[in-house]
Amino acid sequence: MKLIISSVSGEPIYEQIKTQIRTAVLDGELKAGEALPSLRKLAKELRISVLTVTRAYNELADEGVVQNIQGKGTFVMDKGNELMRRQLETRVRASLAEAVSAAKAAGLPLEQVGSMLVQEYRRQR
Amino acid sequence: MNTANVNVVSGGPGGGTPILSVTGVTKHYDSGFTLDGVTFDLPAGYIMGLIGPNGAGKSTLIRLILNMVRRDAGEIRVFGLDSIADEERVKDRLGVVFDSSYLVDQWRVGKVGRAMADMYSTWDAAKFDGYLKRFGLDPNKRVSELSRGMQMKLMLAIALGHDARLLILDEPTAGLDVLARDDLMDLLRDFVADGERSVLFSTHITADLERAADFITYITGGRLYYTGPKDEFEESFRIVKGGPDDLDDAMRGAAVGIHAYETGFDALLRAEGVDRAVHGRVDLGVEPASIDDIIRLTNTRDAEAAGKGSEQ
Amino acid sequence: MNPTMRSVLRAYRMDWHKVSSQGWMWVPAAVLAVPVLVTVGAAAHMESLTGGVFGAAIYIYVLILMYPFMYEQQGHGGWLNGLMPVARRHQVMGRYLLLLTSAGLLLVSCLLTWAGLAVVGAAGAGYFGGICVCLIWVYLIMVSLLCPLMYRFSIQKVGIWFMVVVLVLCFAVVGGLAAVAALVPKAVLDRALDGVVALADNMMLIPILYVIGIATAVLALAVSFRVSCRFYLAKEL
Repeated sequence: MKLIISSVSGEPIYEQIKTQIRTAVLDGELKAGEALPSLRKLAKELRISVLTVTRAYNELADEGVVQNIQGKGTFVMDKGNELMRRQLETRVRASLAEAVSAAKAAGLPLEQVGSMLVQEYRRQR
Repeated sequence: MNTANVNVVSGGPGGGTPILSVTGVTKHYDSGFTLDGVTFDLPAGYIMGLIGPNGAGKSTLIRLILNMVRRDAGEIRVFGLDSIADEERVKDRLGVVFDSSYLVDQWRVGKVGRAMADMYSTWDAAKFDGYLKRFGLDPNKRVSELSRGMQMKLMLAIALGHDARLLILDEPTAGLDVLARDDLMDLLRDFVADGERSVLFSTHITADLERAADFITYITGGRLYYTGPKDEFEESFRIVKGGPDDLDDAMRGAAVGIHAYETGFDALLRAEGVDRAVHGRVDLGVEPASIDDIIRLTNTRDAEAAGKGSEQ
Repeated sequence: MNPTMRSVLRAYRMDWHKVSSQGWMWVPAAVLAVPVLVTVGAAAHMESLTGGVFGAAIYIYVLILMYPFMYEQQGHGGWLNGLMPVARRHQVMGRYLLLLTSAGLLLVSCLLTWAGLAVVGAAGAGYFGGICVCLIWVYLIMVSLLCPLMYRFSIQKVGIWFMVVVLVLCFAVVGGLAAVAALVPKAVLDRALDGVVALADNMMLIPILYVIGIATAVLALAVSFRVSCRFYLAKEL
């Protein structure tokens, strides 16, 4: 698994870890049941605090992406993939709802909102 | 919180007693400097950085833990034992690295090993020799012939040579170059890897903290400013930058510390208050705060207000 | 072994490591040097050498005790005592054990000297036993005084003050004796001296003197130990 952390990107490190692990799970790079690197090993390799990794793993466990098993480690959940996809879909819908109500308040037509959506989609990544 | 989460701050794997527990510790010096009511815990398996400007009380705190100076109030427990009543049991499993050598200058490195073997019940001569080799210390050299960095490594070899459960280092990286500091941080991380031991090191080189510290205890002007996870410390602040005209009363009121200069200002704000203070002014820059920024800006006001003398 | 004894011995061993910082051979060498020098001096009829040698001997045995204090005051040596897993009280006990050890070494040295003098057949060898005892008593009283001072003040200060006091005492004693000799009429002096000699020949006196000597030495050491503890426990490293 590839994990690249930037200390200057402005995004908190634990968020970066979460995002990259989530992506890896979504892409199938991390398979169901596969073990994530141990807390201390990852902390040492990335040269960050153990607590940072712990927080990332814990929050991913809360989201249902991975599961912490006491004494054994952290493993990708079986349904992790789908669960995450569904969660992210919900988030997309919520964001769209917000964007749409803002657009209506500003009086923007659907086509303009649509092209703004396309622009933004293309701009990211 | 989800019980399947890794249990951290309430002690360590399984949540046992903290390796180090400092409660309400106070020390008055005749010079007027006071270390006042410091309280923090260090759980097993983690590294804590003790930070603060020079003269803030870091060295005093370390000496209080070691009972080298007497405390006026408060309690210090190491491995659950009282640091005064059980002093001998505590120090038997305590490894200490000071910023200067405490060994007799005329001693040769080999003799240091023999002297220390008589001091600690868990001394492991093979381990000590192993560290000597690893650090490149010649058993025949006298302590006075070693460079400052090598003297530090010798003290480290001693600290590691007797199965210590708590390692305390006072400004350990001052005499080391970047590579050596890196090695040291790796070594400290390995030390706590089994989850049963901890490290406390005081430093003002914040790059080392970024790399290895899990917890931060920040002391300034003899008082505790913050203790807790390092990430939370950094994330709870932001830096707001603007031009000289942007520094209005609202900003001054909201800021914890301000550095004003001719062409603008840096203000340190608590993260929760940033949005309100900035309220949509696009010309103000908001940036994450580094530990250096926080220390720098939380001392501008203290420097004016206090002026009470510093620890000697 | 009970834990107190173990701690005290840890401190004691560390003190010896400090004493032997520049090699440990000098200790047995010093122990042997006195008997050899005095015996040779007596054989060569250079009795004047004896006084000087004894003075040097006392100094060396005080030095054994001073070394640990010296190294603790040099650089940050005091920090070693701070991180040692030995309570301060036990550290003081270890130091006093060192004190007793050097008194023991002085005794060995004296006994060897006595033997040497006897072998060489020097005059007054018979009285030497009494001189040994006096020497050891003087040594114990002296270090009882010095030890607490070294816990409280710097070695340099103690050294200078000690020399000053000894010099003043010497002058006082010599001056006092000279004054007595000059001022007191000869007849009174002669009778006083006869009285002292008679006293000295009185065998009954000897055990009493021994008891007084031992009692004062023990008292001095006990008081010294308590004062040392008080000073050292209050010290901030």
